[in-house]
Amino acid sequence: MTRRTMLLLGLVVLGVPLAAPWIAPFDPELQLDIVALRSLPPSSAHWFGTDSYSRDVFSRVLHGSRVTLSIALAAVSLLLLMGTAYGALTALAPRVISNALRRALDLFLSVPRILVLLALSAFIGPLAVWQLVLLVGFTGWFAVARQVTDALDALLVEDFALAARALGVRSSRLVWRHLLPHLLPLLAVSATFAVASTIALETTLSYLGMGVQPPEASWGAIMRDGASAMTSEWWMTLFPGLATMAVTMACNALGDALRPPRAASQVAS
Amino acid sequence: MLRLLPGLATRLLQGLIVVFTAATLAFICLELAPGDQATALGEQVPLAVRERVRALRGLNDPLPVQYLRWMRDIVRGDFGWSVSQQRPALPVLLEASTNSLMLVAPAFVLSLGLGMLLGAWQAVHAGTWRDRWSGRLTLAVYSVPEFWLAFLLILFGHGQLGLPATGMVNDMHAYYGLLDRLQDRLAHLVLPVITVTLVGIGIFSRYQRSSLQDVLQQPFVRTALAGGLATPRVRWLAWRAALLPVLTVAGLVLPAFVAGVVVIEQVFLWPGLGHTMLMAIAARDADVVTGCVIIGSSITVLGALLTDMLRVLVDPRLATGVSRIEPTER
Repeated sequence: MTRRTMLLLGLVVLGVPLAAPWIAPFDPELQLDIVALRSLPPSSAHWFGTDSYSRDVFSRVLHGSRVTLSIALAAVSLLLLMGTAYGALTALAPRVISNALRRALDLFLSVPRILVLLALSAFIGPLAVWQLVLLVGFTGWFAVARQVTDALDALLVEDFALAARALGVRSSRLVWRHLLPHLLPLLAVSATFAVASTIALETTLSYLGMGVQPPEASWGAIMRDGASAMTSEWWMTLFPGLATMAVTMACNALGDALRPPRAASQVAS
Repeated sequence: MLRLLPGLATRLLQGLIVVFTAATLAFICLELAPGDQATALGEQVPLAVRERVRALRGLNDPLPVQYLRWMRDIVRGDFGWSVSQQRPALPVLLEASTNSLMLVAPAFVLSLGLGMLLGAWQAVHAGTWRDRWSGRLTLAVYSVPEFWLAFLLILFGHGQLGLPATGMVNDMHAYYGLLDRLQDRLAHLVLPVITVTLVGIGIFSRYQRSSLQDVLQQPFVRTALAGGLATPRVRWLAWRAALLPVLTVAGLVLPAFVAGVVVIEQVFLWPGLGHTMLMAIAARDADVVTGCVIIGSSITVLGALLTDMLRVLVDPRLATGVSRIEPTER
């Protein structure tokens, strides 16, 4: 992928949600005409058709991109922060604590995330968007923490880190000034993959009725609206799904492109 | 197999700790949630009866006492009572697990086999248009939410080909003859199994491709080819050398697999673990939910364990040291 296509992709992915209120032909939550415009297939007036409340699906998908993407971006920032902090702590702590933290991380990594999320969200009840962000963020940082720990382990034996330590640099400054800049490429790659998987996760949770609640439109929530008539009113599932696919594919491709050539062999998703 | 034993013991212990943690987490979630088993009986049950149930089941005891009692019961194999189905939770869980297994086992084998084939084919043709386009295709499958893939298949398989899209059997299943029953079951398996398989192929082919491509660039492959060894034979040897990462992944993606299956079961109304868990959540059926979490995490742990043993069989050098395992996510 060339730099130009990447830029273009980024512009589309970020530009559409920002511009959604101006592009969208209708109000996403407005029930246009419950009698005449109910569950219409795609036409020139309603590109993606209308749903069973006679709302315009195209407008809902456009606005849904804002909800879905902001949830993903917020959750990913949270999990990057937590993962990096935990990784730095693990790599720099005294041996005993460090080992304990590593074992704990092994444990976290092997608990199936979706089961925990489902159990949690079910018993907390319908989630507000900020709760969803917190839940997804708090259960998603384990892989990042592992990668950061591994990278820091490798960096700490490098000459520059030894030199800095020998000069008496405090740990906090060592991480902030000397190590973190080296981690940025790794974090950028992790972030793109995390955005892709978080979007898929949010969509799935909302589809199962445990994410974004109606009448708000996220891509998963729109598909949930269409779930009861999946085959007859296919347009309500097809188009938000295509949007999800486009964005997650773009993120995954971006991650692959950002990955330094050598690391391409160690596929980690 | 003897040399596996010490590693196996620590692995087993780690696995137990994971299951224990997951179970505890589930228990805590349930305790934090408003309402208990007695509340779940509903308003139409008189208050006195609900109080009596609460007293009988010890729901008024302090939390640590309840927790210990619950732990003791689980260890004894008593998974509690399913409020929504009015029978012990264990048979409910067993039925659900069997149903899930019927779906997952063929799909796992198929996706591992086909995924490895596809990945190997891509690695051999690395850099050509075949590799690029099939890579884009698998990336697309890998990127979409599982339920949406199921939707596409239902649209095509059910809408165009008339394959059954929901449940495990027809309404008339009980009245069929033996052959018709078999055919009925198989027909209901087609679409869900294809969905789960596609998800799996997307994962496995990625890893197989990158690991085999790495090995094909190794000097020993060049030497073997230059020495006049037949290309298919060299590729076979390279494939064996590239097997390890793929096997590692096969065990480690089990959480992702379980997660995918939860959602796919929901779309196809397949009465497996995922479907049962979601129904139990909706019905506030606490014991069934914790049971599902315990079984789900046990499967994950078993997968990791099995992978470790397989890895040692493939590469005996690993028997001596504890191997590092790459993280997976999804």
